[in-house]
Amino acid sequence: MMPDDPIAGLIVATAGADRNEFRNLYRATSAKLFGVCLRILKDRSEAEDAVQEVFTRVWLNARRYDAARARGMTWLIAIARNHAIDRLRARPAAREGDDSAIAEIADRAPGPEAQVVARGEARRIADCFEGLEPARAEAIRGAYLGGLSYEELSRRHDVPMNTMRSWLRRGLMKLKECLEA
Amino acid sequence: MTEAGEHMPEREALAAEYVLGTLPLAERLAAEALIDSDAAFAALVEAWRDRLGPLNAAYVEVAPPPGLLDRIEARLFPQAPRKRRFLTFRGALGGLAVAALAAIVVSVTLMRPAPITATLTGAGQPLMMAASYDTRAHELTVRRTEGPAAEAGKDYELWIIPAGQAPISIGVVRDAALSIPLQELPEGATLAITLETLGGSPTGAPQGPLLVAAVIGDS
Repeated sequence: MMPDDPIAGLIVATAGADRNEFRNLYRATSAKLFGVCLRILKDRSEAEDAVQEVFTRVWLNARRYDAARARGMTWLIAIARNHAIDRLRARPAAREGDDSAIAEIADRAPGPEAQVVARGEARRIADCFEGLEPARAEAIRGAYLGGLSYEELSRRHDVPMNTMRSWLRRGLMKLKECLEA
Repeated sequence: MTEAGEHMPEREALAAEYVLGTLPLAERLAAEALIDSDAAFAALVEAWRDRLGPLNAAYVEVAPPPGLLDRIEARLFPQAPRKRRFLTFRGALGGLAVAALAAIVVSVTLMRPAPITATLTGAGQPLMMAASYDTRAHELTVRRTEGPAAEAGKDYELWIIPAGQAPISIGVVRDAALSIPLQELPEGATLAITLETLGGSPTGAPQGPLLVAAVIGDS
């Protein structure tokens, strides 16, 4: 797997305590991971702290990475998303949604994002999203990419939380069926 | 176990919602604990990561500020000052309960290539933890040797605090020993246990009280 996945190679080298390779890994991936944290946290300084924490975890946990199970960038983005969403959920309730107007614009704009998603291995999931009701597809995409909570999603789509939860579950189930078809 | 109308088993739904990121903090942390303890659940989570992973292509790259790599390296690879160990030790703990430190008993032996060992203790604390660092395998093992398990809904979280640096989370210590790869355990660093919410502090910085600690150094 590693020959066509240079990021995986850098993670494995980092696991061997190679500080130079850790730098190379940072150079190759920090812009993507900063983009992830910024999209979810919508606060530059907190996103910087989050990226710092993410690379600290990568240095400490690189030995847990298994190149046979996940592509390098996928593994790194999972760490970044987890950490950024944990931070978001740990914020005091008052801060949630204070930037919802900006976030809404960002998450609802389908243009360039839909095009990016339509590329390469992402094409299949994009096709499956097409099969969902547009509002549900948008809720799933907003949740995944922007880290939106059930509270926020139900507010934006103006439906009760339980309704939103079953929307998402049905949508996810349908996605799974489509992807496995 | 299928909820009416959902057509998705409850565990699978939890795995999917965890990966999607919509769960409230308490449920997220419960799911994270389950990933560590339940291989079948971990596999469900992994399958959902694979399914939703292609969405990652929509994240736009944004260059981080130029100094960020330096900050990360300064935190991970500190130059531990030998002589001023206790001064930097106090500074290092910063927000943690500094008052408790005066009574900390430090018991450290350092022999190469024998493992570095330390006993983590605290004033008036029934809790004790034993730490052992294998310098060849680069593996740190910490186990609870005295005192009760963390109360329900809480976890003991282990931190390494390089001299003069902010604490770095290593993981949570439950009934089984925590063994974790660690590139180095620098002299002058502090190992500390705080009481945190289940799954560990969600912010990446200690939030709960400091319970026990030990400084790594030649005795």
